[in-house]
Amino acid sequence: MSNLSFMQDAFMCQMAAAEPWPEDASLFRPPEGGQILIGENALSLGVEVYLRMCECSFKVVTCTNAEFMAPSGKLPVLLCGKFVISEPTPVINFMKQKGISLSKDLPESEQRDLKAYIEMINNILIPAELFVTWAHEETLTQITSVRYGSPYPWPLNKILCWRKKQEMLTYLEAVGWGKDQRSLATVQEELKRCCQALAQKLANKKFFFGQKPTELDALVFGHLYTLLTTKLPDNRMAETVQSFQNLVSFCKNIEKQYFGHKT
Amino acid sequence: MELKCWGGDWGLPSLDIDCLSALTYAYFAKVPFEIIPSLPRNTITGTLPELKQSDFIYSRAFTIIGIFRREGYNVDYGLSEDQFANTLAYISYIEQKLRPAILYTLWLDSANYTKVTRPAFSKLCGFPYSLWYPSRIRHQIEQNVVICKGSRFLPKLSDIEKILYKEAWTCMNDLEHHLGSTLYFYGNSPTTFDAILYGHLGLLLKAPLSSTVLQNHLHACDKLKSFCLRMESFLPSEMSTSVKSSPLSEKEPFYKNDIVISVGVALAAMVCYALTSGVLTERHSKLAEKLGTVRSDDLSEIDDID
Repeated sequence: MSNLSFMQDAFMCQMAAAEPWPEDASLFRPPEGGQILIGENALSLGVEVYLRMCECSFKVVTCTNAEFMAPSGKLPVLLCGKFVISEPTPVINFMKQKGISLSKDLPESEQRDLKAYIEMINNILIPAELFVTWAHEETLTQITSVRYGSPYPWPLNKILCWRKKQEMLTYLEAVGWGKDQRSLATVQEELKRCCQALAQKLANKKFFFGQKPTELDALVFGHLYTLLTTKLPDNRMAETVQSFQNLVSFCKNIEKQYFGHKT
Repeated sequence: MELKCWGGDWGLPSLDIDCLSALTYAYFAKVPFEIIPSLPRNTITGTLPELKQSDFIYSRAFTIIGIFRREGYNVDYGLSEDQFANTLAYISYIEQKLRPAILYTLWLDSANYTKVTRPAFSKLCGFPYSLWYPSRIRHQIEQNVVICKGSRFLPKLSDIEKILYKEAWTCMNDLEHHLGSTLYFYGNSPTTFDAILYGHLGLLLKAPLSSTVLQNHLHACDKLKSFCLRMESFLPSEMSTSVKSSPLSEKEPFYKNDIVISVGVALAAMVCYALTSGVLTERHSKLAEKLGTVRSDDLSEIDDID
Protein backbone atom coordinates (compact mmCIF):
# COMPACT_ATOMS: atom_id res chain seq x y z
CA MET A 1 0.00 0.00 0.00
CA SER A 2 2.96 2.34 0.23
CA ASN A 3 2.49 4.15 -3.01
CA LEU A 4 4.91 6.98 -2.50
CA SER A 5 7.57 7.14 -5.14
CA PHE A 6 11.15 6.65 -4.14
CA MET A 7 12.17 10.19 -5.00
CA GLN A 8 9.25 11.62 -3.12
CA ASP A 9 10.19 9.42 -0.19
CA ALA A 10 13.80 10.57 -0.05
CA PHE A 11 12.79 14.17 -0.53
CA MET A 12 10.24 14.01 2.22
CA CYS A 13 12.69 12.49 4.67
CA GLN A 14 14.71 15.66 4.60
CA MET A 15 11.89 18.14 4.37
CA ALA A 16 9.38 16.67 6.76
CA ALA A 17 11.68 16.58 9.74
CA ALA A 18 12.52 20.25 9.38
CA GLU A 19 9.00 21.60 9.51
CA PRO A 20 7.00 21.86 12.72
CA TRP A 21 3.43 20.55 12.76
CA PRO A 22 1.34 23.22 11.06
CA GLU A 23 -1.76 24.71 12.70
CA ASP A 24 -3.93 24.29 9.65
CA ALA A 25 -3.35 20.63 8.81
CA SER A 26 -6.48 19.21 7.24
CA LEU A 27 -7.80 15.79 6.43
CA PHE A 28 -9.98 15.58 3.35
CA ARG A 29 -12.60 12.89 3.04
CA PRO A 30 -15.87 12.38 1.18
CA PRO A 31 -19.04 13.23 3.16
CA GLU A 32 -20.15 10.44 5.47
CA GLY A 33 -23.55 8.97 4.77
CA GLY A 34 -23.92 10.24 1.22
CA GLN A 35 -21.01 9.35 -1.00
CA ILE A 36 -18.49 7.36 1.00
CA LEU A 37 -17.99 3.60 0.55
CA ILE A 38 -17.01 1.15 3.27
CA GLY A 39 -13.38 0.74 2.23
CA GLU A 40 -12.82 4.47 1.96
CA ASN A 41 -14.63 5.17 5.18
CA ALA A 42 -12.52 2.58 6.99
CA LEU A 43 -9.27 4.17 5.81
CA SER A 44 -10.43 7.72 6.52
CA LEU A 45 -11.67 6.84 9.97
CA GLY A 46 -8.43 4.99 10.70
CA VAL A 47 -6.28 7.97 9.79
CA GLU A 48 -8.55 10.36 11.66
CA VAL A 49 -8.37 8.40 14.88
CA TYR A 50 -4.63 7.94 14.38
CA LEU A 51 -4.11 11.72 14.22
CA ARG A 52 -6.28 12.09 17.31
CA MET A 53 -4.20 9.52 19.13
CA CYS A 54 -1.07 11.47 18.17
CA GLU A 55 -2.75 14.55 19.65
CA CYS A 56 -2.08 16.59 16.52
CA SER A 57 -4.29 19.53 15.74
CA PHE A 58 -6.14 19.13 12.47
CA LYS A 59 -9.54 19.71 10.98
CA VAL A 60 -11.62 17.31 8.94
CA VAL A 61 -12.83 18.74 5.65
CA THR A 62 -15.52 16.86 3.80
CA CYS A 63 -15.58 17.40 0.07
CA THR A 64 -16.96 15.34 -2.77
CA ASN A 65 -13.81 15.34 -4.88
CA ALA A 66 -11.41 14.16 -2.16
CA GLU A 67 -10.52 11.09 -4.20
CA PHE A 68 -9.24 13.21 -7.08
CA MET A 69 -7.05 15.30 -4.77
CA ALA A 70 -5.10 12.26 -3.61
CA PRO A 71 -1.66 11.83 -5.16
CA SER A 72 -2.12 8.05 -5.29
CA GLY A 73 -5.82 8.21 -6.10
CA LYS A 74 -6.76 6.64 -2.80
CA LEU A 75 -8.28 8.09 0.35
CA PRO A 76 -7.93 9.86 2.73
CA VAL A 77 -5.86 12.92 1.88
CA LEU A 78 -3.83 14.77 4.51
CA LEU A 79 -2.73 18.30 3.75
CA CYS A 80 0.05 19.23 6.14
CA GLY A 81 1.98 22.40 5.44
CA LYS A 82 3.57 21.90 2.03
CA PHE A 83 2.79 18.21 1.84
CA VAL A 84 -0.13 16.31 0.42
CA ILE A 85 -0.15 12.67 1.52
CA SER A 86 -2.72 10.01 0.94
CA GLU A 87 -3.43 6.57 2.38
CA PRO A 88 -2.69 5.35 5.92
CA THR A 89 0.79 3.83 5.49
CA PRO A 90 2.40 6.91 3.88
CA VAL A 91 0.71 9.13 6.50
CA ILE A 92 2.17 7.00 9.30
CA ASN A 93 5.62 7.08 7.68
CA PHE A 94 5.35 10.83 7.25
CA MET A 95 4.51 11.29 10.91
CA LYS A 96 7.45 9.10 11.87
CA GLN A 97 9.79 11.39 9.95
CA LYS A 98 8.39 14.25 11.95
CA GLY A 99 9.30 12.34 15.09
CA ILE A 100 5.70 11.55 15.95
CA SER A 101 5.12 7.85 16.45
CA LEU A 102 2.84 5.89 18.72
CA SER A 103 4.99 2.80 18.73
CA LYS A 104 8.54 4.08 19.27
CA ASP A 105 8.58 3.01 22.92
CA LEU A 106 7.66 -0.59 22.14
CA PRO A 107 10.36 -3.27 22.35
CA GLU A 108 11.72 -4.41 19.01
CA SER A 109 9.88 -7.73 18.93
CA GLU A 110 6.55 -5.97 19.42
CA GLN A 111 7.38 -3.47 16.69
CA ARG A 112 7.85 -6.41 14.34
CA ASP A 113 4.53 -7.88 15.39
CA LEU A 114 2.95 -4.48 14.83
CA LYS A 115 4.23 -4.39 11.26
CA ALA A 116 3.03 -7.92 10.60
CA TYR A 117 -0.46 -7.24 11.94
CA ILE A 118 -0.73 -4.04 9.91
CA GLU A 119 0.14 -6.10 6.83
CA MET A 120 -2.58 -8.55 7.79
CA ILE A 121 -5.06 -5.67 7.55
CA ASN A 122 -3.67 -4.73 4.14
CA ASN A 123 -3.70 -8.34 3.04
CA ILE A 124 -7.15 -9.38 4.23
CA LEU A 125 -9.41 -6.59 5.50
CA ILE A 126 -8.86 -4.10 2.68
CA PRO A 127 -9.41 -6.56 -0.20
CA ALA A 128 -12.39 -8.04 1.66
CA GLU A 129 -14.02 -4.62 1.87
CA LEU A 130 -13.27 -3.89 -1.77
CA PHE A 131 -14.67 -7.28 -2.76
CA VAL A 132 -17.98 -6.63 -1.03
CA THR A 133 -18.17 -3.10 -2.45
CA TRP A 134 -17.33 -3.81 -6.07
CA ALA A 135 -17.57 -7.53 -6.80
CA HIS A 136 -20.74 -8.47 -4.92
CA GLU A 137 -23.55 -7.73 -7.40
CA GLU A 138 -26.23 -6.91 -4.84
CA THR A 139 -24.09 -4.44 -2.93
CA LEU A 140 -22.82 -2.95 -6.16
CA THR A 141 -26.26 -2.14 -7.56
CA GLN A 142 -28.01 -1.21 -4.31
CA ILE A 143 -25.28 0.73 -2.53
CA THR A 144 -22.07 1.33 -4.42
CA SER A 145 -23.33 2.65 -7.74
CA VAL A 146 -25.92 4.84 -6.01
CA ARG A 147 -23.42 6.34 -3.58
CA TYR A 148 -20.29 6.65 -5.66
CA GLY A 149 -21.77 8.88 -8.34
CA SER A 150 -24.22 10.73 -6.09
CA PRO A 151 -22.60 14.21 -6.21
CA TYR A 152 -22.50 14.28 -10.01
CA PRO A 153 -25.19 14.81 -12.70
CA TRP A 154 -26.54 11.94 -14.79
CA PRO A 155 -24.15 10.87 -17.50
CA LEU A 156 -21.07 11.64 -15.43
CA ASN A 157 -22.11 9.60 -12.39
CA LYS A 158 -22.55 6.46 -14.48
CA ILE A 159 -19.28 6.97 -16.33
CA LEU A 160 -17.23 7.60 -13.17
CA CYS A 161 -18.78 4.65 -11.42
CA TRP A 162 -18.15 2.34 -14.36
CA ARG A 163 -14.53 3.48 -14.61
CA LYS A 164 -13.94 2.97 -10.90
CA LYS A 165 -15.57 -0.43 -11.04
CA GLN A 166 -13.25 -1.58 -13.84
CA GLU A 167 -10.24 -0.26 -11.95
CA MET A 168 -11.24 -2.00 -8.75
CA LEU A 169 -12.04 -5.31 -10.42
CA THR A 170 -8.61 -5.41 -12.08
CA TYR A 171 -7.05 -4.53 -8.75
CA LEU A 172 -8.88 -7.36 -7.00
CA GLU A 173 -7.89 -9.73 -9.76
CA ALA A 174 -4.25 -8.70 -9.33
CA VAL A 175 -4.23 -9.37 -5.59
CA GLY A 176 -5.95 -12.73 -6.07
CA TRP A 177 -9.39 -11.68 -4.85
CA GLY A 178 -11.05 -11.55 -8.26
CA LYS A 179 -14.72 -12.25 -8.89
CA ASP A 180 -14.05 -15.72 -10.26
CA GLN A 181 -11.35 -16.50 -7.70
CA ARG A 182 -13.46 -15.98 -4.57
CA SER A 183 -17.04 -15.94 -3.45
CA LEU A 184 -18.67 -13.99 -0.64
CA ALA A 185 -18.56 -17.13 1.49
CA THR A 186 -14.78 -17.52 1.15
CA VAL A 187 -14.33 -13.81 1.78
CA GLN A 188 -16.36 -14.14 4.95
CA GLU A 189 -14.26 -17.11 6.03
CA GLU A 190 -11.11 -15.11 5.43
CA LEU A 191 -12.52 -12.19 7.42
CA LYS A 192 -13.38 -14.53 10.26
CA ARG A 193 -9.86 -15.90 10.34
CA CYS A 194 -8.45 -12.38 10.41
CA CYS A 195 -10.81 -11.32 13.22
CA GLN A 196 -9.90 -14.43 15.17
CA ALA A 197 -6.24 -13.52 15.01
CA LEU A 198 -6.97 -9.93 16.00
CA ALA A 199 -9.21 -11.02 18.87
CA GLN A 200 -6.50 -13.37 20.07
CA LYS A 201 -3.88 -10.64 19.92
CA LEU A 202 -6.13 -8.18 21.74
CA ALA A 203 -7.26 -10.67 24.43
CA ASN A 204 -8.47 -8.67 27.44
CA LYS A 205 -6.13 -5.74 27.05
CA LYS A 206 -7.33 -2.22 26.46
CA PHE A 207 -5.20 -1.82 23.33
CA PHE A 208 -3.32 -4.35 21.20
CA PHE A 209 0.04 -3.60 22.82
CA GLY A 210 -0.96 -2.85 26.40
CA GLN A 211 -2.21 0.39 27.88
CA LYS A 212 -1.16 2.76 25.10
CA PRO A 213 -2.69 2.98 21.63
CA THR A 214 -0.57 2.23 18.55
CA GLU A 215 -0.97 2.59 14.79
CA LEU A 216 -2.54 -0.85 14.71
CA ASP A 217 -5.31 0.19 17.11
CA ALA A 218 -6.17 3.16 14.92
CA LEU A 219 -6.31 1.17 11.69
CA VAL A 220 -8.17 -1.80 13.15
CA PHE A 221 -10.71 0.57 14.70
CA GLY A 222 -11.26 2.24 11.33
CA HIS A 223 -12.00 -1.04 9.60
CA LEU A 224 -14.00 -2.86 12.25
CA TYR A 225 -16.07 0.15 13.27
CA THR A 226 -17.02 0.72 9.64
CA LEU A 227 -17.90 -2.94 9.11
CA LEU A 228 -19.98 -2.93 12.29
CA THR A 229 -21.93 0.24 11.61
CA THR A 230 -22.53 0.14 7.85
CA LYS A 231 -25.79 -1.35 6.66
CA LEU A 232 -25.31 -3.58 3.64
CA PRO A 233 -27.73 -5.78 1.68
CA ASP A 234 -25.81 -8.80 2.88
CA ASN A 235 -25.03 -8.39 6.54
CA ARG A 236 -22.72 -11.38 6.91
CA MET A 237 -19.63 -9.20 7.31
CA ALA A 238 -21.03 -7.28 10.28
CA GLU A 239 -22.27 -10.49 11.87
CA THR A 240 -18.81 -12.01 11.56
CA VAL A 241 -17.21 -9.09 13.39
CA GLN A 242 -19.99 -9.02 15.96
CA SER A 243 -19.28 -12.57 17.02
CA PHE A 244 -16.00 -11.39 18.57
CA GLN A 245 -17.04 -9.70 21.78
CA ASN A 246 -13.69 -8.22 22.73
CA LEU A 247 -13.29 -6.58 19.32
CA VAL A 248 -16.73 -4.98 19.60
CA SER A 249 -16.00 -3.56 23.03
CA PHE A 250 -12.57 -2.42 21.79
CA CYS A 251 -14.34 -0.38 19.10
CA LYS A 252 -16.77 1.07 21.64
CA ASN A 253 -13.92 2.06 23.96
CA ILE A 254 -12.00 3.87 21.27
CA GLU A 255 -15.13 5.60 20.04
CA LYS A 256 -15.87 6.83 23.57
CA GLN A 257 -12.31 7.93 24.20
CA TYR A 258 -11.54 9.72 20.93
CA PHE A 259 -14.92 10.70 19.52
CA GLY A 260 -16.60 11.36 22.86
CA HIS A 261 -18.25 14.57 21.74
CA LYS A 262 -19.79 12.97 18.69
CA THR A 263 -21.99 10.42 20.39
CA MET B 1 -4.27 -37.51 -2.51
CA GLU B 2 -2.92 -36.10 -5.74
CA LEU B 3 -1.09 -32.81 -5.77
CA LYS B 4 -0.61 -31.12 -9.13
CA CYS B 5 2.35 -28.74 -9.13
CA TRP B 6 4.72 -26.90 -11.38
CA GLY B 7 7.66 -29.21 -12.03
CA GLY B 8 11.05 -28.74 -10.40
CA ASP B 9 14.61 -27.78 -11.21
CA TRP B 10 17.53 -26.06 -9.44
CA GLY B 11 17.40 -28.88 -6.87
CA LEU B 12 13.87 -27.96 -5.81
CA PRO B 13 10.73 -30.07 -6.27
CA SER B 14 8.86 -27.11 -7.74
CA LEU B 15 9.70 -23.71 -9.21
CA ASP B 16 6.61 -21.93 -7.99
CA ILE B 17 6.30 -20.20 -4.60
CA ASP B 18 2.87 -21.61 -3.76
CA CYS B 19 3.62 -25.12 -5.01
CA LEU B 20 6.90 -25.20 -3.10
CA SER B 21 5.13 -24.05 0.10
CA ALA B 22 2.49 -26.76 -0.15
CA LEU B 23 5.07 -29.43 -1.05
CA THR B 24 7.37 -28.47 1.82
CA TYR B 25 4.50 -28.82 4.27
CA ALA B 26 3.47 -32.14 2.77
CA TYR B 27 7.01 -33.47 3.05
CA PHE B 28 7.71 -32.59 6.65
CA ALA B 29 4.20 -33.48 7.83
CA LYS B 30 4.72 -36.82 6.05
CA VAL B 31 1.46 -36.57 4.11
CA PRO B 32 1.01 -39.57 1.79
CA PHE B 33 0.48 -37.95 -1.60
CA GLU B 34 1.35 -38.30 -5.21
CA ILE B 35 3.01 -35.39 -6.91
CA ILE B 36 2.02 -34.76 -10.51
CA PRO B 37 4.12 -32.18 -12.33
CA SER B 38 1.75 -30.34 -14.66
CA LEU B 39 0.84 -27.05 -16.27
CA PRO B 40 -2.00 -24.74 -15.25
CA ARG B 41 -3.84 -25.69 -18.46
CA ASN B 42 -4.08 -29.30 -17.28
CA THR B 43 -5.92 -28.40 -14.09
CA ILE B 44 -9.59 -27.91 -13.35
CA THR B 45 -9.28 -24.57 -11.57
CA GLY B 46 -6.63 -23.25 -13.94
CA THR B 47 -4.20 -22.60 -11.09
CA LEU B 48 -1.37 -24.49 -9.45
CA PRO B 49 -1.00 -26.04 -6.92
CA GLU B 50 -4.18 -28.09 -7.05
CA LEU B 51 -5.05 -30.88 -4.64
CA LYS B 52 -7.41 -33.70 -5.54
CA GLN B 53 -8.74 -35.46 -2.49
CA SER B 54 -11.44 -38.10 -3.06
CA ASP B 55 -13.83 -36.15 -5.32
CA PHE B 56 -12.92 -32.65 -4.21
CA ILE B 57 -10.55 -30.17 -5.78
CA TYR B 58 -8.74 -27.53 -3.76
CA SER B 59 -6.47 -24.75 -4.97
CA ARG B 60 -4.27 -22.14 -3.23
CA ALA B 61 -1.41 -23.20 -0.97
CA PHE B 62 -2.97 -22.03 2.29
CA THR B 63 -6.21 -23.91 1.63
CA ILE B 64 -4.32 -27.05 0.67
CA ILE B 65 -2.27 -26.93 3.86
CA GLY B 66 -5.58 -26.50 5.70
CA ILE B 67 -6.83 -29.73 4.07
CA PHE B 68 -3.65 -31.58 5.09
CA ARG B 69 -4.25 -30.38 8.65
CA ARG B 70 -7.88 -31.49 8.56
CA GLU B 71 -6.84 -34.93 7.34
CA GLY B 72 -4.78 -35.38 10.50
CA TYR B 73 -1.36 -34.29 9.25
CA ASN B 74 -1.24 -31.35 11.60
CA VAL B 75 2.15 -30.03 12.64
CA ASP B 76 0.67 -26.96 14.33
CA TYR B 77 -0.93 -28.74 17.28
CA GLY B 78 1.88 -27.56 19.56
CA LEU B 79 1.18 -23.90 18.82
CA SER B 80 -0.59 -21.68 21.32
CA GLU B 81 -3.51 -19.54 20.14
CA ASP B 82 -1.22 -16.54 20.26
CA GLN B 83 1.34 -18.17 18.02
CA PHE B 84 -1.38 -19.18 15.62
CA ALA B 85 -2.56 -15.57 15.36
CA ASN B 86 1.04 -14.50 14.78
CA THR B 87 1.38 -17.14 12.05
CA LEU B 88 -1.46 -15.55 10.12
CA ALA B 89 -0.07 -12.05 10.58
CA TYR B 90 3.45 -12.99 9.49
CA ILE B 91 2.16 -14.90 6.46
CA SER B 92 0.43 -11.69 5.43
CA TYR B 93 3.67 -9.82 6.04
CA ILE B 94 5.69 -12.03 3.69
CA GLU B 95 2.91 -12.11 1.11
CA GLN B 96 2.79 -8.34 1.05
CA LYS B 97 6.48 -7.50 1.24
CA LEU B 98 8.62 -10.48 0.26
CA ARG B 99 6.59 -12.17 -2.44
CA PRO B 100 6.38 -9.24 -4.90
CA ALA B 101 10.14 -8.67 -4.62
CA ILE B 102 10.97 -12.34 -5.26
CA LEU B 103 8.61 -12.47 -8.23
CA TYR B 104 10.24 -9.31 -9.50
CA THR B 105 13.74 -10.77 -9.23
CA LEU B 106 12.78 -13.97 -11.00
CA TRP B 107 10.46 -12.67 -13.70
CA LEU B 108 10.82 -8.95 -14.30
CA ASP B 109 14.56 -8.48 -13.93
CA SER B 110 15.47 -8.92 -17.59
CA ALA B 111 18.88 -10.55 -17.06
CA ASN B 112 17.42 -13.17 -14.72
CA TYR B 113 14.38 -13.72 -16.89
CA THR B 114 16.25 -14.38 -20.11
CA LYS B 115 19.10 -16.41 -18.61
CA VAL B 116 17.44 -18.28 -15.75
CA THR B 117 13.68 -18.17 -15.39
CA ARG B 118 12.58 -18.43 -19.00
CA PRO B 119 14.86 -21.37 -19.88
CA ALA B 120 13.81 -23.23 -16.73
CA PHE B 121 10.11 -22.71 -17.33
CA SER B 122 10.44 -23.45 -21.06
CA LYS B 123 11.88 -26.80 -20.09
CA LEU B 124 8.95 -27.44 -17.77
CA CYS B 125 6.37 -26.46 -20.38
CA GLY B 126 7.64 -28.66 -23.22
CA PHE B 127 7.85 -27.69 -26.87
CA PRO B 128 4.92 -25.82 -28.29
CA TYR B 129 3.87 -24.25 -24.97
CA SER B 130 7.38 -23.06 -24.15
CA LEU B 131 7.00 -20.51 -26.93
CA TRP B 132 4.34 -18.44 -25.20
CA TYR B 133 3.73 -19.72 -21.66
CA PRO B 134 6.72 -18.06 -19.94
CA SER B 135 6.15 -14.70 -21.57
CA ARG B 136 2.47 -14.87 -20.66
CA ILE B 137 3.30 -15.51 -17.01
CA ARG B 138 5.78 -12.67 -17.09
CA HIS B 139 3.24 -10.30 -18.57
CA GLN B 140 0.72 -11.21 -15.89
CA ILE B 141 3.22 -10.71 -13.07
CA GLU B 142 4.23 -7.36 -14.51
CA GLN B 143 0.59 -6.28 -14.64
CA ASN B 144 -0.01 -7.37 -11.07
CA VAL B 145 3.09 -5.64 -9.72
CA VAL B 146 2.25 -2.40 -11.49
CA ILE B 147 -1.37 -2.47 -10.32
CA CYS B 148 -0.51 -3.29 -6.71
CA LYS B 149 2.58 -1.19 -6.20
CA GLY B 150 2.43 1.53 -8.82
CA SER B 151 0.50 4.73 -8.53
CA ARG B 152 -0.05 7.34 -11.17
CA PHE B 153 3.28 8.97 -10.29
CA LEU B 154 5.18 5.74 -10.57
CA PRO B 155 4.93 4.39 -14.06
CA LYS B 156 8.50 3.10 -14.37
CA LEU B 157 9.38 -0.43 -13.37
CA SER B 158 12.81 0.63 -12.16
CA ASP B 159 11.23 2.90 -9.54
CA ILE B 160 8.97 0.09 -8.43
CA GLU B 161 12.01 -2.17 -8.18
CA LYS B 162 13.67 0.13 -5.65
CA ILE B 163 10.58 0.18 -3.46
CA LEU B 164 10.08 -3.58 -3.67
CA TYR B 165 13.69 -4.34 -2.77
CA LYS B 166 13.70 -1.87 0.11
CA GLU B 167 10.56 -3.43 1.55
CA ALA B 168 11.90 -6.94 1.08
CA TRP B 169 15.15 -6.05 2.85
CA THR B 170 13.31 -4.73 5.87
CA CYS B 171 11.11 -7.80 5.85
CA MET B 172 14.09 -10.18 5.73
CA ASN B 173 15.82 -8.30 8.54
CA ASP B 174 12.68 -8.50 10.65
CA LEU B 175 12.35 -12.21 10.01
CA GLU B 176 16.03 -12.74 10.81
CA HIS B 177 15.50 -11.14 14.22
CA HIS B 178 12.18 -12.87 14.71
CA LEU B 179 13.80 -16.24 14.17
CA GLY B 180 16.25 -15.55 16.99
CA SER B 181 18.13 -18.54 18.28
CA THR B 182 15.46 -21.21 17.81
CA LEU B 183 15.70 -23.75 15.01
CA TYR B 184 12.33 -22.88 13.52
CA PHE B 185 10.02 -19.92 14.02
CA TYR B 186 7.90 -21.58 16.67
CA GLY B 187 10.22 -23.87 18.58
CA ASN B 188 12.18 -26.91 17.54
CA SER B 189 9.90 -28.39 14.92
CA PRO B 190 8.66 -26.80 11.70
CA THR B 191 5.11 -25.43 11.34
CA THR B 192 2.90 -24.01 8.59
CA PHE B 193 4.69 -20.69 8.74
CA ASP B 194 8.07 -22.34 8.17
CA ALA B 195 6.68 -24.14 5.11
CA ILE B 196 5.31 -20.97 3.58
CA LEU B 197 8.44 -18.97 4.32
CA TYR B 198 10.61 -21.69 2.80
CA GLY B 199 8.37 -21.65 -0.28
CA HIS B 200 9.50 -18.06 -0.77
CA LEU B 201 13.10 -18.07 0.45
CA GLY B 202 14.03 -21.51 -0.90
CA LEU B 203 13.24 -20.41 -4.41
CA LEU B 204 15.25 -17.23 -4.02
CA LEU B 205 18.22 -19.09 -2.52
CA LYS B 206 18.41 -21.94 -5.04
CA ALA B 207 17.79 -20.03 -8.26
CA PRO B 208 21.08 -19.66 -10.21
CA LEU B 209 20.44 -15.96 -10.76
CA SER B 210 22.69 -13.61 -12.68
CA SER B 211 21.39 -10.40 -11.11
CA THR B 212 21.64 -11.12 -7.42
CA VAL B 213 20.76 -7.96 -5.46
CA LEU B 214 18.01 -9.62 -3.44
CA GLN B 215 19.72 -13.01 -3.26
CA ASN B 216 22.84 -11.43 -1.79
CA HIS B 217 20.83 -9.98 1.02
CA LEU B 218 19.50 -13.42 1.87
CA HIS B 219 23.07 -14.73 1.88
CA ALA B 220 23.93 -11.97 4.34
CA CYS B 221 21.14 -13.04 6.70
CA ASP B 222 22.96 -15.95 8.37
CA LYS B 223 20.09 -17.26 10.43
CA LEU B 224 17.61 -17.21 7.58
CA LYS B 225 20.11 -18.94 5.33
CA SER B 226 20.80 -21.73 7.78
CA PHE B 227 17.04 -21.98 8.34
CA CYS B 228 16.66 -22.59 4.60
CA LEU B 229 19.34 -25.29 4.65
CA ARG B 230 17.59 -26.94 7.61
CA MET B 231 14.28 -26.92 5.74
CA GLU B 232 15.95 -28.33 2.66
CA SER B 233 16.74 -31.52 4.54
CA PHE B 234 13.00 -32.27 4.63
CA LEU B 235 12.81 -32.38 0.87
CA PRO B 236 13.82 -35.97 0.15
CA SER B 237 16.71 -35.85 -2.27
CA GLU B 238 15.84 -39.04 -4.13
CA MET B 239 12.27 -37.74 -4.44
CA SER B 240 13.35 -34.49 -5.96
CA THR B 241 15.56 -36.24 -8.50
CA SER B 242 12.82 -38.66 -9.46
CA VAL B 243 10.44 -35.74 -9.90
CA LYS B 244 13.05 -34.09 -11.99
CA SER B 245 13.88 -37.12 -14.07
CA SER B 246 10.35 -38.27 -14.79
CA PRO B 247 9.28 -35.13 -16.66
CA LEU B 248 12.65 -35.15 -18.41
CA SER B 249 12.18 -38.65 -19.77
CA GLU B 250 8.68 -37.72 -20.82
CA LYS B 251 10.05 -34.72 -22.56
CA GLU B 252 12.77 -36.48 -24.54
CA PRO B 253 10.41 -37.12 -27.49
CA PHE B 254 9.70 -33.39 -27.32
CA TYR B 255 13.36 -32.65 -27.89
CA LYS B 256 13.53 -35.11 -30.78
CA ASN B 257 10.46 -33.46 -32.23
CA ASP B 258 12.19 -30.13 -31.81
CA ILE B 259 15.19 -31.24 -33.83
CA VAL B 260 13.16 -32.95 -36.56
CA ILE B 261 10.88 -29.96 -37.01
CA SER B 262 13.62 -27.34 -37.06
CA VAL B 263 15.85 -29.31 -39.43
CA GLY B 264 12.82 -29.98 -41.66
CA VAL B 265 11.85 -26.30 -41.76
CA ALA B 266 15.43 -25.26 -42.56
CA LEU B 267 15.74 -27.84 -45.35
CA ALA B 268 12.42 -26.84 -46.87
CA ALA B 269 13.45 -23.18 -46.84
CA MET B 270 16.77 -23.96 -48.55
CA VAL B 271 15.14 -26.06 -51.26
CA CYS B 272 12.52 -23.38 -51.90
CA TYR B 273 15.20 -20.75 -52.22
CA ALA B 274 17.23 -22.87 -54.63
CA LEU B 275 14.19 -23.57 -56.78
CA THR B 276 13.00 -19.98 -56.95
CA SER B 277 16.47 -18.68 -57.75
CA GLY B 278 16.56 -21.18 -60.62
CA VAL B 279 18.93 -23.99 -59.69
CA LEU B 280 17.21 -26.23 -62.23
CA THR B 281 16.67 -23.70 -65.01
CA GLU B 282 19.32 -20.94 -65.06
CA ARG B 283 22.18 -21.40 -67.45
CA HIS B 284 24.77 -20.52 -64.76
CA SER B 285 23.67 -23.54 -62.79
CA LYS B 286 25.97 -26.54 -63.17
CA LEU B 287 23.19 -28.83 -61.92
CA ALA B 288 20.80 -27.59 -64.60
CA GLU B 289 23.44 -28.06 -67.27
CA LYS B 290 24.11 -31.63 -66.16
CA LEU B 291 20.41 -32.46 -66.02
CA GLY B 292 19.82 -30.68 -69.28
CA THR B 293 16.97 -28.66 -67.85
CA VAL B 294 18.23 -25.19 -68.75
CA ARG B 295 15.32 -23.06 -69.93
CA SER B 296 15.09 -22.92 -73.72
CA ASP B 297 15.03 -19.09 -74.02
CA ASP B 298 18.29 -19.05 -72.11
CA LEU B 299 19.77 -21.46 -74.58
CA SER B 300 18.60 -19.41 -77.53
CA GLU B 301 20.28 -16.37 -75.89
CA ILE B 302 23.53 -18.32 -75.82
CA ASP B 303 23.05 -19.21 -79.48
CA ASP B 304 22.50 -15.55 -80.30
CA ILE B 305 25.78 -14.55 -78.71
CA ASP B 306 27.57 -17.30 -80.55
